[in-house]
Amino acid sequence: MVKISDCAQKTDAQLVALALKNQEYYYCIMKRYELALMGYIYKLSGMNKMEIEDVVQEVFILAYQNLNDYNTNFKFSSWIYRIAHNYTISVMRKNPKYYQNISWDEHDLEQLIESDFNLEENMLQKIDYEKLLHIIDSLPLKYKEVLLLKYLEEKDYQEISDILRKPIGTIGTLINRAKKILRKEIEKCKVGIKYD
Amino acid sequence: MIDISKETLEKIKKEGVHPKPRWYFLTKNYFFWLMFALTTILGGMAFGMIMFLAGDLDWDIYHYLGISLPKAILMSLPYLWIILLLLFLFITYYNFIHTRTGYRYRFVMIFFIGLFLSGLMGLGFYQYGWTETVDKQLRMRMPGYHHLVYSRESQWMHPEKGLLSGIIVKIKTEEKMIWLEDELGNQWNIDISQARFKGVSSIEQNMPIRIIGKKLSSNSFQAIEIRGDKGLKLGPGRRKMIKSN
Repeated sequence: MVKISDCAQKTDAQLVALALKNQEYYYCIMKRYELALMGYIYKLSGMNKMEIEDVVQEVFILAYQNLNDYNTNFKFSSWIYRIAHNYTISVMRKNPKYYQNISWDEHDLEQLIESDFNLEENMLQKIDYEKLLHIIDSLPLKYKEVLLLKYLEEKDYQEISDILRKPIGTIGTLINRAKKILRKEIEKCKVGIKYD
Repeated sequence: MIDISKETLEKIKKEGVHPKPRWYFLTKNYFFWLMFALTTILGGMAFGMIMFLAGDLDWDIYHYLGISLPKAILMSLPYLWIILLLLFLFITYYNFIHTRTGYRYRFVMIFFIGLFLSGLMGLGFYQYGWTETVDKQLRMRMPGYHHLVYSRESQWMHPEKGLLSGIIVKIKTEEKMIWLEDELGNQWNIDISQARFKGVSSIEQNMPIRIIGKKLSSNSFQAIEIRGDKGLKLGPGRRKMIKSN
């Protein structure tokens, strides 16, 4: 088996080219994205660990079957995230229980708020994260997925556009709308703020 | 802890999973480009038909029908071809966004580029007279097609409102009378003694004409203005056809 150390210096595109000749190299690609995809699928669907492992395995097999479709002009991460995203959504559609609650923890929510909402620092500690989570959870999937990719996966607009197969302008609009809804909820009703 | 990547690689080997060949994806991509081109051409034909049908109408006679210009426009729009054009534009959009990078462009942009390309092609089809050929073929071969489009013939089939068209079957010069057969096969005696000619200097047998005048009885008509089929508000498509005949 190819060792991870053999692949460390290689780019994703180089590894794809190698994996097409020798499938052992595909192990390096999978290893590189295994945890990131598990985290993403978890935050997107709220599946349990075993379900996530099954989904990730299917995603890797799908990606392997479609490896020749990867275009080196694009980021490999966007390409594999797209496959993971589409496959996860298709699993979620078959089993609506995954829509019931998203699985972002307090750290995720902090990251989301700190990155773009310009709230005062003392305010951050007062946020009722459970309530905020409830608000985010009530958002339509199209808003949740862009917030997740932008703030938690830290993807740029182009990457999000490539993952979701939507124009950059649409991504910007969706993010702005999602932020507007969140900001309104945070500031307007103060439901998210705990006062001492 | 399970090594998913290792397990997956073993599964890939065990089940003999292989990457699909590159040509498969290229073919898929080219297929969408081909469909894009095809639907753009069809959209072009629909655009050309709209131009042809709208251009073929006489826009200076609507007041004889007792209607306003906006109503005349609403009545005359070739809805069938407008719907087909929209349909082709949506299919063009669908095909385009399924190409490799098509999703990067906004619907409005793709829609208007599709419309622009269809417009250009439509203009070409119209200029070459292909739209008239298509129109003629559809009228001959597709039953009920003439009910779906408002044509110049329909415009002129209102003898009670002073509009009549048809083909001259007989001319009696000394009596200043002509016999005309309309689109429905009815024969009309036309008094042309007071008629002025527009766009045509003389008339002859088997010539298609349009007449503005007054209905005198169930089969007689007083002509005030006679228009020939040539040289009257004719689009380049029609002119080309006449030339070639």
